[in-house]
Amino acid sequence: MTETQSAPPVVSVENLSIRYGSLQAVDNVSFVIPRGEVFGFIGPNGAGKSSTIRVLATLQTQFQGKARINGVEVRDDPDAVREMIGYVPDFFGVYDDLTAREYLHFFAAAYRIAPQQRAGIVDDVLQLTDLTQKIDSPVESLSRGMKQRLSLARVLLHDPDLLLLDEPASGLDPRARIEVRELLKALQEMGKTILISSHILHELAQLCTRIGIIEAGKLVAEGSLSDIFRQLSLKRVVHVQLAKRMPELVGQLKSVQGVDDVEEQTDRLVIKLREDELAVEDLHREIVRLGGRIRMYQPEAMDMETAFMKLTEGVTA
Amino acid sequence: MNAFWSLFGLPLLAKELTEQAARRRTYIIRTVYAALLCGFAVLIFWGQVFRSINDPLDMLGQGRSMLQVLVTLQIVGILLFVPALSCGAISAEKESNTFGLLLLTRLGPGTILLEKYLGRVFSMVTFLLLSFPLIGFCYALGGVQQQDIWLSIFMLLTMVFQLSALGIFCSAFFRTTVASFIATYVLGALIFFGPIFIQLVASPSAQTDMRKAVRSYVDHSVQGITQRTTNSIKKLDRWSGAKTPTLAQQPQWEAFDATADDMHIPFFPAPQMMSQMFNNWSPTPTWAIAIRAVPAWMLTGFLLLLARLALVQRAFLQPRNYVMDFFRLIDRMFHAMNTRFTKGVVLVNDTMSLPIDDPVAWREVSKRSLGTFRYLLRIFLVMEVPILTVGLVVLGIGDFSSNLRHPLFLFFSIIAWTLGLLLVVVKSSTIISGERSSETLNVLLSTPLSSREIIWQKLAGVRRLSLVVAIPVLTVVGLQMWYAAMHGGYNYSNYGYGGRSHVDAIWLVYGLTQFLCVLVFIPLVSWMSLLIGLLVRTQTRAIFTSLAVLVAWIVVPFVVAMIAMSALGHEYEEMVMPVLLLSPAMLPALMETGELGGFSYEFNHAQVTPYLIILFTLGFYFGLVVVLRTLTLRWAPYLLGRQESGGSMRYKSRQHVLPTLAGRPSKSA
Repeated sequence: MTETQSAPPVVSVENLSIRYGSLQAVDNVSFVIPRGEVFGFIGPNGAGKSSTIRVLATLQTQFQGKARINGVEVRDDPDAVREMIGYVPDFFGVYDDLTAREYLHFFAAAYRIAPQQRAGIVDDVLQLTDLTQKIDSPVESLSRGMKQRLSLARVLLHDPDLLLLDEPASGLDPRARIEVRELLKALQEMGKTILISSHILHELAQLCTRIGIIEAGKLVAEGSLSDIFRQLSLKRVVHVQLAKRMPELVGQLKSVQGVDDVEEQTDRLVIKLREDELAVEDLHREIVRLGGRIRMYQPEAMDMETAFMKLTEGVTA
Repeated sequence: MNAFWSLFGLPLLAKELTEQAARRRTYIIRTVYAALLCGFAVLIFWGQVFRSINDPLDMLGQGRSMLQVLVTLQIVGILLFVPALSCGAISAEKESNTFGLLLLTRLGPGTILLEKYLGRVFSMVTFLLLSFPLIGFCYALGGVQQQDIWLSIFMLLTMVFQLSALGIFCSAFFRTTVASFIATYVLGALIFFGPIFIQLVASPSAQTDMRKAVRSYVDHSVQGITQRTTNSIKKLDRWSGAKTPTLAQQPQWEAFDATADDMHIPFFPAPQMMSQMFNNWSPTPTWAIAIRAVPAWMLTGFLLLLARLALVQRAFLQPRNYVMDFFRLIDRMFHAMNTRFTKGVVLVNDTMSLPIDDPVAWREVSKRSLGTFRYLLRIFLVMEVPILTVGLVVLGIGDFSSNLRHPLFLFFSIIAWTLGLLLVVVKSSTIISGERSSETLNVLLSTPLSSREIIWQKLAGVRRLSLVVAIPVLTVVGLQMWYAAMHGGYNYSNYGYGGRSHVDAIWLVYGLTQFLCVLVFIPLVSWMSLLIGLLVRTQTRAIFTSLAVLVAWIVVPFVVAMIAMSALGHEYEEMVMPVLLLSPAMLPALMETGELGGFSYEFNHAQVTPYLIILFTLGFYFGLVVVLRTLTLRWAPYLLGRQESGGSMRYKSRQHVLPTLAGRPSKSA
């Protein structure tokens, strides 16, 4: 057994429940994040994402269930857990009365990094986040995107195993979002385990190796993107444009095993199929067999937005 | 038909009342108000009326004096509650950015104003309704005529409408509820009591002795609330061994007394109306009493007109940081003075140091405005220089004939304590709530710093500030002692002792006690404010809650003692009096006024000396400091909102910090 196989997952959440008065914010949520994975936590506002992240960040005093970081139970040894995590809340959380250098030295001291090492580490993280030029700028003078990068620089100071990023792209302009995304990709390449919550689904799709979709406190789907897409593609939609109109083909296709429905639109047929019974490629062959001359054959893309919309019902806790 | 009725619809008023009805807070406040009103009323009824009754039939006809007590209590309630209820009516909408949306509706500005106004008036009227069962009881006992009740209700409604209009005007004028809150009370005080000062200034006779006149006014106010309360002050003075006649017996009061008509408070008709309503010797016609309210109603209309003018013009004000503006002003002033007098000599530069061991403490003392040396020095100079200059001048003039204590030093002491505690409250209550408001607390809590360390380091700035504000207070104490030491030819036999050496010892006790008061009370206020700041979510609320708790803590024991004495009578006087020591202001006040000497009295057949009182009081408050400090630090993780396992942290060697970053090229390279 290799070391990686024997090591516990970086994050392990079991039957996590959080209640605020009469509100069940998180209801029996379980998931695991192996080392080096980027886990996208998706859900509408009030779904329970931030509450779950706060548990892992040791900031939630009341909860039920188990939450472990590197096998350490958050409740048992929160001090040890804080050494292993870097937390960026949904608001930037920067001190406007400090310069970027002072800000990072402040947290380097808070993380008890030896004084003689601090300058080098601060230079490193500023270089990574591309803020070297701003080292002596007051934090209040930085743009929103720069502040967010400074927050990411802060969580890298003590080289944590796990980064907990709550809505890191929220409120950023397109350029700043791309910069943050690229930075997260770089951290992913370095092997950091990242838990990131966001509303911006297509950005998560480019970044995450696993996703968890949470709604009304319940985890409605969890796994790799391909797992979830496979699960959702049971109702795959294929758009087919024929060279000439063939009304009899609609009836014939409806009788094919695996075809759920065929809708005739002005310029195309919209075919819904059960992919476990009939693959997209096999449908193509069936249409050709039935005499259809295909001008366009387009399976509908199963992007994260579609998955999200299919899995959730717009319910809030 | 619907369209017709919609013309008379009051959607904003309906929304306001629905919101109020839906809030649990509304019912809690009403219940507390009713309990306080009934509790105080029953206590005073019992003390003033029932105790002197031997036969049940004697109760008949007592309703009139009971009604007087009840109306007085309601006036106090209105003065306290109405400004607070009305000052946020419009400013709260501005703060939540919903006022612009209101202006975009078909509701005109006048309608918005009126509906907001009525919403607040109705709310307070429900408080007035709470006293109706008691009024009915008074009426049932007899002695009260129907017109007395109608006049009382009219007078109370006049005050409700007037103060609500003032609150609405301030709310329309100011951007924030906090500014509106302060302005409502300050303007209210000026409107109600300002005319009397104008009259005093304008009157040549009063100018000759302004101090006496002001004192007379205070006497009148005290007596105006209730004669029994004044009697309680007499008891208090007797008990505490005051050497001066009570306030109500001052000669200037008698000269000033005459009738309430002499009071120039046209916009505060309640004392005058009550004086005429409950004057059994020369009844006044109802219309003559009611007409007293005309200036108040005119002012109400004027304030509503001003509110209407301000409503739209000041709907979208830019936020301003008044504290920062003030500090910038001070900065400019000191910079100009430094350039002029020293040609720009700088003794202490702002250093560019970085944190080493205690990052939170480093930020508090090097980056926060009330923690840095530069600002603390300025605060110190602003407080210390006037005290020291005037004090030395007073000592230099050498007017030692009047009293052992110079009244100017008493005044300075009040100012120094008030300013000092105000600064400590503001600083202590915002050190955590400020982090919470700016959403930086969670980031700090996710570091390995323990909650205890965070709080302790956060207090570094408060400790510096406490030292700075303590010095002016102790300077006043030193000046007072100096004054006493230079005081010649006095006889201090009132203490029951003779001889200069003993008096010197008394002054030593005075100095030591005041020094200990500073050592105990400033940390007490600091820890109390910190605890409130930990419990409350926003900075503003933390400051106001801390101030409210402090003021209540100072005032409530006095009120309770007075009411209890009114109710229980002389025989329980000595049992009630120690309640006064529950006010933290009592011991410093007794020391400053020199009334502690008479504090000696028998308790359970044992002689309790002033020294024991001092020791007991200081010990009690020191114990409170220890309790507050222990509880705050012990509950710190819970109060801050995080899990903690304890244990101290040491430097972590990061030999392999970010190894993957080492060879990574810079993006900008």
